[in-house]
Amino acid sequence: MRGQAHTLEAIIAAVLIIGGLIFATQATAVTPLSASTSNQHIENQQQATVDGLLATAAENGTLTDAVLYYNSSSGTFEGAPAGEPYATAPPNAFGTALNETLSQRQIAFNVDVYYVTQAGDTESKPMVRMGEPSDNAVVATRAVSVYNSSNLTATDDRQLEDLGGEEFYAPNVDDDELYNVLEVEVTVWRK
Amino acid sequence: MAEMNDRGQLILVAGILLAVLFIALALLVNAAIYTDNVATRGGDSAGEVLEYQAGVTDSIGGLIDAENAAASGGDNFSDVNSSVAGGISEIDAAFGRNNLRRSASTDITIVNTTEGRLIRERNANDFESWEANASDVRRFVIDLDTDNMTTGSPLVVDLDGTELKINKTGGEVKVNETGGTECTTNADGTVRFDVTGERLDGATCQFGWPDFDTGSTVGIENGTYAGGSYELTIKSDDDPAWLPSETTRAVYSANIKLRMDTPDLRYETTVTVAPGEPDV
Repeated sequence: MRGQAHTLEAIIAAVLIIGGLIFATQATAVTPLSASTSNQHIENQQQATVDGLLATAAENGTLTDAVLYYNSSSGTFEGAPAGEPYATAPPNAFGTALNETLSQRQIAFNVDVYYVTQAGDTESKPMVRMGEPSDNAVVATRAVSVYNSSNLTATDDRQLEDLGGEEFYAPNVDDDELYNVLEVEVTVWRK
Repeated sequence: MAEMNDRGQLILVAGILLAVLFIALALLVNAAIYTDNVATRGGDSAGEVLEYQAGVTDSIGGLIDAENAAASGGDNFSDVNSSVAGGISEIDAAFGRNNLRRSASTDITIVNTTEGRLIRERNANDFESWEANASDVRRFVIDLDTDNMTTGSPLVVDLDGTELKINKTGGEVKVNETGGTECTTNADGTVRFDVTGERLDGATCQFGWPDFDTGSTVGIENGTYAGGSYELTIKSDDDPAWLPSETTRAVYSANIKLRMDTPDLRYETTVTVAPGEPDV
């Protein structure tokens, strides 16, 4: 009888301790060192990475080339399905940079290009759509201007001033050489 | 049996005590993580401002070059200048709207612009020889058509006394600074010599860019020995009639006052936009 009571006592004590431990670890799912998708340090790192990526692309001109990588007859960026954005990185130098810094580290991204309309509003043209960003997504932007003398960089390499009204997604908003001011917005999040 | 009942109570009390202890531990660790999370959130509030400044200077730099390139020989400085001013106000409006989406307010105003000359020759069989007063020079790039270079006779680029001899000998293009650096590359097709960037065909060619000041001159001598295209913008008010025929009046640089107010900080600065100006 006594032996049975002791065994029962030990089992109850063990269940209590294990239960308490499980509760404690559940309550602290994210420790400062755990690599979770919602860790603030990861958000900060992603912010710095994508800021740097955009700054480099703007500096070496690949960002401007990417916003001008457009097929006027299909109304999409070159190589994307008709009327749709890319589902992965674009097939150009900017896309290669996105792949090497983000895709290879299991980071998903959306890219949108904001432009000024003739009425003075802002609208966006999606360039890459990988899905719905999580709550812990970070956003980085970089502005690039295009001019009448800027050339499209895809198979069609006409100058913007030679294009018809609807042939480029952004309209001509200036009487002189400025064509439009575009803003590239990259949203990144951990898959 | 009485002893057994006491032990049951003891286990229960000890269990509750352990549970309370673990909850306290969980709360403590959570508080630490939350503090860390909040403290490191939005760590780099200057990043937004720097991104804005870089975007504005790039956009205005591109605008100045585009307006200069589109000007025709008969245009006055004020014509080009007002086109640049019109473009800058469009850029200001666009940046204002884009930043408003992120609850930041921005403003761009022109402090002043500097008059200059855009000197260029395009697809010439041989260059003209000329000299101009220039208190600054930016974006000086020569695309040499090696088939149109006279072997053994150098084209001379005179940068306020620093003479660069550009010569074709033995299948190579040589850039030679009198008594100094010599750079070579294969004489094949078109060779680009970026004078302000100090690069020959992509490779560095550090001849030492001279300091330009009031009274400095820039010019090309023996232009007839080489052909191709070149382009440079100088800070000068020389009459274009003395310079190569494609020369136009241009905006050399613009001083721009930038302001940005974000919830975190207020930033105001004046920047000089002169794309392709060498760092000396």
